[in-house]
Amino acid sequence: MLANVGYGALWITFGLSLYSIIASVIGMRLHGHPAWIQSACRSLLFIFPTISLSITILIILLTSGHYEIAYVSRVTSNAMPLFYKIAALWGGQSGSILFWTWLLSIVSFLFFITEQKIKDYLLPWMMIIISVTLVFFVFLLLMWENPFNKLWLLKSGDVVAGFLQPLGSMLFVPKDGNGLNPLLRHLGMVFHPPMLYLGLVLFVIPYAYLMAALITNRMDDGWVKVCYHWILMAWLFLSLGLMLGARWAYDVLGWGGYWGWDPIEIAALVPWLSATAYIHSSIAQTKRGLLRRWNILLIILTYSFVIFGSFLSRSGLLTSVHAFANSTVGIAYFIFVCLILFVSLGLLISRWESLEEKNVINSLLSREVMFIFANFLFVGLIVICLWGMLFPIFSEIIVGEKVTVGPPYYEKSTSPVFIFLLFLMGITPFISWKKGSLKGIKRESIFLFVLLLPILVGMKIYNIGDNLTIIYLGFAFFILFLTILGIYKDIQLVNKKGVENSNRTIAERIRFLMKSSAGKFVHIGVILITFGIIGVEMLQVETQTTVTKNEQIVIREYTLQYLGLSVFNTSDGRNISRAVLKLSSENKYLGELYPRRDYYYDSQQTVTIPAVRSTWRDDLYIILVDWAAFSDENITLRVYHNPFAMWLWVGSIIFIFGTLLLLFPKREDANV
Amino acid sequence: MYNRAWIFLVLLLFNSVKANEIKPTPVNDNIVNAVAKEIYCPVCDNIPLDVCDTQACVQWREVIREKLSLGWSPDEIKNYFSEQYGGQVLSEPPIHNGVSFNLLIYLIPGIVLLAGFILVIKSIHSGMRRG
Repeated sequence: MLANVGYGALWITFGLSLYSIIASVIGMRLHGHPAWIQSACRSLLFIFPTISLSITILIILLTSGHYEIAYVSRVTSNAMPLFYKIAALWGGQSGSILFWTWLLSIVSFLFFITEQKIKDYLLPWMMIIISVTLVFFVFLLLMWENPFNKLWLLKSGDVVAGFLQPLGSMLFVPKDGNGLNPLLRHLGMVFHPPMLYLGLVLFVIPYAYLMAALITNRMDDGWVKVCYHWILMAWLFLSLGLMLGARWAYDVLGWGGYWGWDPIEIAALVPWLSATAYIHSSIAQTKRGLLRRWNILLIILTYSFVIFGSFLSRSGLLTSVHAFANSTVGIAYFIFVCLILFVSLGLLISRWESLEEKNVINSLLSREVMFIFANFLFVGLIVICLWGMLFPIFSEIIVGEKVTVGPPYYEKSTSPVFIFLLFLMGITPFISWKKGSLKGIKRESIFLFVLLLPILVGMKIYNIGDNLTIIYLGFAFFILFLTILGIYKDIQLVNKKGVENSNRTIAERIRFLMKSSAGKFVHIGVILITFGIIGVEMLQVETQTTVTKNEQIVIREYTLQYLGLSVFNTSDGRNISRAVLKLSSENKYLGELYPRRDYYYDSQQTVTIPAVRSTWRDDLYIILVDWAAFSDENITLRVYHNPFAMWLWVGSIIFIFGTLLLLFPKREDANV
Repeated sequence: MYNRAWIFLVLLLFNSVKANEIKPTPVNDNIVNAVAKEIYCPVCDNIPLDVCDTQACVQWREVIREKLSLGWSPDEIKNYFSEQYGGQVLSEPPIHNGVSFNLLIYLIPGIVLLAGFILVIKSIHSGMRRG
């Protein structure tokens, strides 16, 4: 019964989305007839409660063990704790599409409620575009991926999934479900997919806004600011999603890494890269009236990448730990992304002439040119990523050879681009618009080099790594100093303005500083993440050894002593094998560590949970690889020493903090 | 008849000499992992062999250990896996000597980036000329 209501709510949502399109079209036909437009808007707003009803019902079914529902029996089991049962909502194909659609309804609801200043001529087109997107996703749910499908036992003894009862069949109610893939039973599962999805879904707003402006041919630069704000919001959540994913991989996948250049990881990175490019190039449009066509193209591409990424992860075309099972739903995604690309690019071309640049470039050494180069590098990264992701498909089609494009390709190709980007990131804030010069920072640069020298010498004396690593670290330090110098200059500026305007309180000054330096905080986050990457990628040491009781493993300055192994069951259906290790460094006791392996009885799968000891200097990351059967006499351990790994996470937090500063309050107030 | 016996004896001798020459040497986990890192699990999704903990991968790591102990080089082992399970077990498309489709993996981004750079310079130039 409940499932029928949930399914019915989906049909109502479908009807409301269609009605919103029709009412918008009629409203426009009647030259902006307010009653029709209002009616379309209300219908679009009403989608949020209807789809919320549908999702609430699915959550009730998931948490109450209604295993006659195919999706519930696939992703939950009796032994799973409540919050994983709720998180199972996005753990499978159909649930995650429903979740995506729900987020889309929230985002559009919030947009139409909060953005009061939408021009009358844009509103109907925006509604049409968002409604078409909703129609697409709800149609997928109704036709291909119905999360409310039930299990039916046929006369032949086969069990099939379907919403309507096949003739002569009866409802099949399993006693227990398969349960969520154990790898997904981690706190990361609760936060990573929702953040990532929210980020990706949010891109629909700038896309719809831009398309409305393009269709109505009202391309004054007003759209840039609206899009900037929403893209920044999407970017915040997408960044958070990617960072949480990295942390999850570090915590649970058991390979001592945070980023595996997995095709689906890259599919989420690509829209992030194009959005990052937009965030920079849109400033060139706001300040100098440049890159107008380019910014439109970036928004179109970003949204297309979002849908293309969904297509890749849901079609089964690519093999990945992230990918959903093979599904025909991929074809629908493919058609949708082609439609988006053709229509949007067609529109852009038709408006090409009216989108002439409003200004000229005065000098090669100007902030706008630096932004153009940064954009070129971001696009370069996108090309490298897309090509690496799609090459296995081309190879199979053209020469019939299955290949894997793994980390070596990406690391070799992207690292030079990242180095150039870091360099631009460091110097661009010091180069002014129109005609810049490096005079302003010449003296400071020399001072920074002098500051850098003892650090370089220190790294060499302490033999922190080979010469190349020291050069990379030195370079990262230099960019860090430059960015801190930039913040210092902002403080000077704020103080100067404070003297001119003595009414300003200290709190106000801090607020102004936060606003003017927000971007630089994001940059500091990036540099700290770079330290983490250099540490793990270039300075990581690993060893795998079998040890007997009380035997020691030495890795760099650390000593690990194996004390024992305990094996026990837990109430949530796991059998845990946990090793106890004593950690010391230079004869100083540092504590105990417990690497373990969890065996899940319901899915008969094992998950490795590493023991991690983090300090600001380094991480010790230990995996229990194997142990002797029925004995705790000896175990095999794999130990990684990851210098600077913590800076990945500290940098991520600062990055998010900087982005929040950029977002609240809006950027137009940020010019001190 | 005698001839055949001689051939048999020579072969036996040769065989025994060979067996004496290739004496398996013990190989530790770190050396095995260094090779396994560059090979992808043939049955899992994008997981390097050194970190994959399925039973099949444990056995494949033992195959690597065995080959290493017999004196095989890492490249020979990678080729062996590639021949046995297909090119997708290598972490990078193999680029053999001569012209190969796999060369495009580096060529295409290189060409696109170069063309893009020229385009950027040209558009900056034309942006400056407009003034």
